[in-house]
Parts: sequence; C-alpha cells; structure tokens
Amino acid sequence: MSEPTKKTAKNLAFDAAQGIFVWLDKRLHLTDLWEHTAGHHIPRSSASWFYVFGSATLLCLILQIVTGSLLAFAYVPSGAEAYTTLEYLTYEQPVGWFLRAMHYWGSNFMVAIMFLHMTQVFLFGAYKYPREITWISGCILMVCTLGMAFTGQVLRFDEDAYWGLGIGAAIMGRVPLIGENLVHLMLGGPIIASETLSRFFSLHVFIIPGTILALVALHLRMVLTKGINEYPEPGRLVDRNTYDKEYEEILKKDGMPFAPHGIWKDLVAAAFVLVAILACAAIFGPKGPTGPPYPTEIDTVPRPDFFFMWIFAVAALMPEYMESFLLLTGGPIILLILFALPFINNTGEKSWRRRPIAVLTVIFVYLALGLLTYLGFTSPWSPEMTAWTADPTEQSRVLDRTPLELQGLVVLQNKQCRNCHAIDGVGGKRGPDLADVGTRLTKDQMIRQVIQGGGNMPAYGKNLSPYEVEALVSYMVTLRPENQPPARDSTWPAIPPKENVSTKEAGPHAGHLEKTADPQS
Amino acid sequence: MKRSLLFLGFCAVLTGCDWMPGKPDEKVDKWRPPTAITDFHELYRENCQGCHGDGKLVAGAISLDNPTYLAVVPEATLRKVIAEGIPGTLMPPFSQAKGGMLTEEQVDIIVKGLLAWRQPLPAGTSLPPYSAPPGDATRGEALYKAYTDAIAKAGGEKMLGDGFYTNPAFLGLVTDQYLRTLIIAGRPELGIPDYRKVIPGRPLSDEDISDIVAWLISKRENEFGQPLSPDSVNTQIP
Repeated sequence: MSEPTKKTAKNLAFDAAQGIFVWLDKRLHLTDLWEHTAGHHIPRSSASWFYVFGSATLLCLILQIVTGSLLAFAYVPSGAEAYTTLEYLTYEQPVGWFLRAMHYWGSNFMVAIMFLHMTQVFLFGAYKYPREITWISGCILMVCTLGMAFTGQVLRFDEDAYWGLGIGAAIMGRVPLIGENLVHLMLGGPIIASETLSRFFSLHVFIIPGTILALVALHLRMVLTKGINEYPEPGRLVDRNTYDKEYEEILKKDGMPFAPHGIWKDLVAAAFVLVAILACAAIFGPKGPTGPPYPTEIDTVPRPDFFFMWIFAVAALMPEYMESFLLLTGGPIILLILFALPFINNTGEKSWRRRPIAVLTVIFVYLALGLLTYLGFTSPWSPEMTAWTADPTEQSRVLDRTPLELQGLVVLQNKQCRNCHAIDGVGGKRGPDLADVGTRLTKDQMIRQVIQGGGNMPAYGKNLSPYEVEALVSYMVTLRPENQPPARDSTWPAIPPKENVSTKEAGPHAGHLEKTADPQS
Repeated sequence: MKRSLLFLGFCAVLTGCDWMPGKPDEKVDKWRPPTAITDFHELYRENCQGCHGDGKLVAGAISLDNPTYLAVVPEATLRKVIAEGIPGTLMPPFSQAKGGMLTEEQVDIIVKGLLAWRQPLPAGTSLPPYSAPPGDATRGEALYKAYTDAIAKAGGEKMLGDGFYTNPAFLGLVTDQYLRTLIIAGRPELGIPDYRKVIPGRPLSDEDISDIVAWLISKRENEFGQPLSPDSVNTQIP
C-alpha cells in the first residue's frame, strides 16, 4: 500500500460524505429501500403521461398536509373563535390569505385529479386481476378524500359551513331507527355548536388524515408488489392463470427502473399541478369566509364547494317522495358498485378501445356530474331575500298605470313576491318571470294562483286582503309585451263586441268584459 | 435570469403577496352585518328603492325625491313613518324596535339623506299644511273633476282608468293622509301635477285639498260594495 497522494479539499469532502452515507446505509438500508421503491422496474409502456395522476394526487396530499399544518398554527377550533381566526388569517396575518388559498385550491385539485386517476384506472382496466386490493384501497381513499373535503368545508365555519352541516345532519336524521343517534354523534349534541366543530376538527386533522396515510402506504405497497399496470393493448386479455407470468416477461423484456426513466413525467406533471395551484391561489384567492354561522341569518345563499355541488343539485331537484330513499341508498349503492367492480369484471379485455360500455359509462358519469354541478352553481335555489325592497322595476312596467295598478306594484313588492319572481330578469328566480304573466294567465287564474298557491308557490290567501289581491292582479294583467293580447278565457270570444263594452287595459284581460269605468265619475 | 427570478420571489415574500389579484380586500370582501351599513345611498338602495324608485326610475309608491313632498313633510313625521311604518297599509316598519331590520342610527341616516334631497321651491310658493282634517265633500267633487281634467290635459288619460283615485280597492289600501299627500305633491314623473298646477292661474288652497280628500273618502266602500262612513277610517295615521 503506497501512501496516498495529495488529496484536494474537494476529494476529502467527497470521501467524508461517502463515508457518512455508507454509515447510514448500513444502518437504514437506504440503497435497498431505493431499489425496491423508486428503483423498481416498470413496463416501458407504463411510463406514459396517462399514469401521472396518482402521483399528482399524492403531491396534493403532501401540499394539504403542509399548508394545513401551517394553518393549524393560527386556527382555533372553537365555535366562538373559529370564524374570527379565519378572518384574522385572511385579512391580518401576513401571507395568511395565500396559505388559505393554497389549502383551498389544493383540495379542489386533489379531488379533481383523484377522479381523473380513478377514471384512467377504470378505462385502462387496472382494477382487474391481480390489482383488486389496489383498486379497493383507492376507493376507500376516495371516500376519505371526500370526507376531508367535507370536514374542511365545515372548519371554515361560516354560513356555508353551518347550513352544509344542517343538510348533513338532516340526511343523517333520515336513517331509520338510529337517525337521531347518528345526528347526535355527528354534531356532538342536538344542535350545531362548539362540540360539533371540535368533532370535525378532530376528524379533519387527526382521524381522516391518519387513515389516508395508512391507506396510501397500503396503496403504494400494492403498486410496488403487484406492479404498475402495463399500458393495455387491444386483444391482450387478462387470464388469472397466466397473467403473473406474462407480466414478469414484460418486465424482463421491456422493463426499466421507475427512477429515472418513468419518474420524470410524474415530476413534470407534479410541477405543473403545483404551479396551477399556486396560480389559482394567487389569482382567485381563498374561498370565504362568507357570513358568520348565525342560524338567524337567513339572507344567505349557501352552496357547497364544487365537489359536492352535484349532490346539492340532486337533493334540490329530486321529488320529495324520493328524497329519503335516494339520499340513504344512493351513496351506499355507488360505493358497492365501486367495491364490487374488480370482482364482477376481474379478467378479460383491459383496453378501453374494446370496452365500449366502460367508455359510455365514463361519458355518462362525467356528463351527469358536469350538468348537475353546473345546475348547482347556476340554478336559483333560494329566493333573493332583499329583492322586495331593493329591486327597481323597469319603467315601461310603471308608466301609464292607474293608481290601483301602481298600488298593485307596491303590493307585489311589499308581499315579497319579487323575492321569487323577477320582472324583466330583475328579482328572484325561484318562480317564473312576471314580465309576460299577463299573456299566460287570465285575471281569474291569477287570483286563484295567488290565493291558493300551486306548484312550488305557497298560498297567500291568508296574507292578502281582498283589496290587495285586487290591486296586485290588476297590476299583473298589465304585464305583457307591447301589442301582445292578454290571456283570454276560452269561453269568451276572441274579439269582444264593441257596443257599450270594451276591454280595458287591465281589468278585462282575464276574460271579464266590463263596462268602461268613467274616470270622472 | 436566475437572479431576476430570485429577486422577484424575494420581493413577493417581502410584500406578503399583496400585489396578487387573489388577495381579499378587507373593505370589499369582509362580511359586514347589514346593521353596519352607514352609507345613505346603500341604505336607500337596499330598503327604499323597490317601492319608491331611485330618483331616476319611478316605482309604485310616491317618489321620495318629489320636491313638493320633501318640502311639506315634517322631519319627525318622515322619521316616524320610516321607523314605525303605517299600520294597516303597505308601508312596513323598518326600525328594529318595530320588527324591521334597521338600527335607529340607520333610520336617522335615511331621514337625513332624504332631507338633503330637498330643493328650494320657487319664491313666493305658499305650502299647504302637510296634515289637515277632511273638508267639504260636496265642494270637493267639482274640484276633483278639475283635477282629473288637468291630468287628462297633461296627457295622463291612461292613468285615469279604474276610477283613478275613486277606485274602492285603491281607497281601501291608502290612508286619508296619503290621499292628501298625493293631491299636494302629485306624481309629476307620471304626469300627475302637484297642487300648484291643477287649476290654471292659482294653486289649490288648503281648503280645496281638504275638500277633495273629503270627497274621495266618501267614495270608500267595504269589500261588499257598501259605502263606509269617514269615521271608520283611521285619519290619525301620519
């Protein structure tokens, strides 16, 4: 052994680092860990852009843990202080709003990418033999992620959270026999209070994230042990007796280490997702907090976050007699189908090119969810509570009216008809626009509708005096486009006789023929 | 390039990302209770505009920027009407003490804002009293005829339908005072003149106005078409 030659400082540093690594490796088996995880072999075909959604979801989870932990430094999970701390985070704490925005957009992206991941797995047949557990653990992860989304929405503890909880409790309360107990369990008492927030904080910060981390570990373990699904080729069928051997052959012939050959696409996708979340947070900011969670505050239009908007729309649209059945059985049925899928359809064709039913299912589900979500965002589920005092009326609907008709307009405002019925698009949208009601209903029909109600409209008979009804209806029959005839009772002639009688601008529109009143009398 | 990006990132951290469009604006985005609104225009828009118009758009009830109305209505009456409403009519109470949504301070802001809309009337204008008991109904009939003639002449024939102010349903929904207010202030934006322009050459006197109101009251009926005695109508309403 000759004396070592002069070593440079760089070489010495390298040697030291290598020594430390070797020391650590002998104890932690880092090389072994690398080879069995990032270094594991995958089919070359799997290094595809279609396979990046799982890792992108994982990135979102990590981001949520980091931003959530930071938010927890300031957030106080108490009924009295949660709203205040959110206001503090949003308006006072430096960069607090950005942190909230990152957490909010991170959750949106996580849910969206998770569903893309599930769609890809479904279309590529990756749930089939031998990856059933991978799929099922993924389905449970989906439930947990939605659970995180719901509990996170509650922790915002604003009016949306309050009413969202109210709806959740109402659904729970419909469970036969144990409904009341479930509501008590969910809310921590009979009403939404501080105990409710504590429960949801515990769920959001400890229980569900812990479950998710355990399930992610299982999910990744299954990915590593059962391998990443090869890119499906039309005609290559899965057979339980031969698949394992075929997969080994693929890895032998055309396999490559995940890192670095496959991982770079995941890293690029992750970077893209990260930039997109940062951009959304910077451009659109956080959501809320909206108004405080006061049960007496009714001037509110609570809507859930986008991932639950379709459920919100379904609940609002379905007929009353179906509500309990669908709300209680819909979720379990969907979950049952998802869990049963790898057992119902365990072998055979994987490629979506030869699975038209799978493709049609995906198209149907996305169209339905998209449409329901759109309706959830845009449909006027609630009256416009301030329309009766705030919304003006287009001038052509006011001018050239008699004092009685003008008084009818005041009745329309005062009795809050406007909260549900717009005139020329201004006002509530729950009921039909009244701008052309004079062409659709006769005076008698209007009186009946106002007094008895019908459809979604309540009866106002007990809330209006006969004079108020008369004034209101006198005004409403004048609401029609210019030169368009009023609605006519089918028992009356289309063209009334002119002698001694005439149709007045308002009164006879209902089919009544009255003698023209002399204004001077 | 690297240095520029680092510098930008450093600036972003230093400024707390304040320049980003997503940063919530406390003045705009932070929730405020409706009782915290102290801007007259916002209060008026949210609480009055639907029935009384906004000065440009007219509505069903009398315009609150009507110069004659603002000139004759006493401040205390205006405040009382806004705060307590007029029982038995379509004017609801707005004060929280009476079941409305506004604080006393907000009612005061609305009153002050409305009074700030007052405009000086032409020099020498003699204002009738805001409130007075009804007069002679027989004399009022002829005056009412002149009144409706003036409206027809001003192009307001369409408004004269349904019996105009004598319609029983209309009369059943308004107070005597509202009738008097309508005769005094008119609704010029709709073509109904105020008391100064009804009879050419002279304004209606206090007595004329009371007589017209008396005649209108005499036309009141119950919902079965039977005449009502003047005593049965609350004339004490402001």
